[in-house]
Amino acid sequence: MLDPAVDPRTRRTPEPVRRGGGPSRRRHADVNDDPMDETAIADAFAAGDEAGLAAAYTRWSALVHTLALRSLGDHGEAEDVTQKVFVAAWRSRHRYDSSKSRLGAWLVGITRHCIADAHEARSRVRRAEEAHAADRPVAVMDHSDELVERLTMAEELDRLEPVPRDVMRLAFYSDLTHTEIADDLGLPLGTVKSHIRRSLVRLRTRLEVNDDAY
Amino acid sequence: MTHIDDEALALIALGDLTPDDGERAHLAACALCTEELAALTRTVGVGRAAEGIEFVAPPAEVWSRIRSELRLGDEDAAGEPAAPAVPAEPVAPAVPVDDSPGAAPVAGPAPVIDLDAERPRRRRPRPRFVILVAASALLFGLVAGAGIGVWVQTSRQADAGVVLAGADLSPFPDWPDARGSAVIEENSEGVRQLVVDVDAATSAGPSVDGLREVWLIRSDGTALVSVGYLEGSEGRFDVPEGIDLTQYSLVDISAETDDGDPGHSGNSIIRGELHPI
Repeated sequence: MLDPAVDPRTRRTPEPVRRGGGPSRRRHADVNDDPMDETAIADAFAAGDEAGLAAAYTRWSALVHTLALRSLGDHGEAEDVTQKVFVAAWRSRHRYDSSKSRLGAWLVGITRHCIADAHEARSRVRRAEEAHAADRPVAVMDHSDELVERLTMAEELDRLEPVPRDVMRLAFYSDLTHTEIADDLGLPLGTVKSHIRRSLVRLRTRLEVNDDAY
Repeated sequence: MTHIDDEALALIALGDLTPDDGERAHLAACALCTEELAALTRTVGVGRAAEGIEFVAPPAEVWSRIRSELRLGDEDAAGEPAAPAVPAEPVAPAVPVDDSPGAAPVAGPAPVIDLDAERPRRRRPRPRFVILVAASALLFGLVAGAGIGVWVQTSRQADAGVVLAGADLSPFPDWPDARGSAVIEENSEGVRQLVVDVDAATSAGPSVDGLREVWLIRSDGTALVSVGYLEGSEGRFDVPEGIDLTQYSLVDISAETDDGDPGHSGNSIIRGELHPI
């Protein structure tokens, strides 16, 4: 399919490839880990291999714990939630279907349930202690789907390869245009545009598949 | 229908480009591009809201408590080597790794999974196809499963390569607005690929059949080889084995008609010489 549209906005000066003055070779990967690592972890986990649980804990415990900590605002409760998430995940591993969700997304789903339970437990305690507690505003911290999305996004951004990560951080958090980003990083304009598109699609896919039911 | 270029959609989502009249008209008529832009725009919104988040790893005793509650076997007795299963760095680079003996599995005697043993063969879907699949799934209310994520990642991985050479592509007189660049990448399997990236103006235009063919031409003009047809603004082509790129150093994109003649039409759009990077 051809695109006959003339787009003067993306026209560039004929100097898109840097010559000399830089490293002789540049790596172009988009992710700094082999994505199959996660598949291997998930397979081992689903198969009941304890090494799979350990690897899943290594890979996702910081995400789970940070979610709980931000939502509950209490270190002890966040640690309890983290423990419950991995215990519940291991005990219900037969319900995990790697063809339906990434293990990380499935763990996040469990985390949300455990956080909700923790908030509910707080309410029960409060009701028991104070008869009129139901009328009082409950101090719920940042507890929402939006928090899950932001943390997921932050984590996925961290996992991009250095070059696309730099590109996306500038694209997100600076006022630079893609042309200025290319100048700033000394990259060909086409490379910058390509990294932006690929990284956005990757990040977007991760957000989409994070809503799997537990 | 000609959809809006993927990279242009991404830049529009970032607010880096404003859709022109043609793109606005297309968006008004095309549910696919509208869905795609909406999803990318939402991604940008979440991405910008994710600034400055730092991850906090749980203390080491949480892992001990999990093992205890699940009555898992003693790690040392299992004879597992003292190497981390996966690096902790990508999860929480801001958090110092606790290397105390109880810190498993982050840095302690965690079991090692042989990640190579069961690694599936890589699939190489075309990224454009993957995007359309994802957008179609949204459009028809289907659940876009995690498989798509794996596909996208896998295709990204397959794209990884080392840049060996690059070329600016300059226009021929009939195509004054055409611009482009080309790079030679070598992937992890040692396959050299020619990646061309052209402006939207580098279309073959309405006067011919609209085919554009990508060639490698010897610098002395005595021979040439076709590597494939270019669709859209970016293409990736395997460089045939045995082609010496110091000899075949000219990258050429020609306008071709669908006339069954496999040779070069003589109607070049842009051309440039590869130089080592």
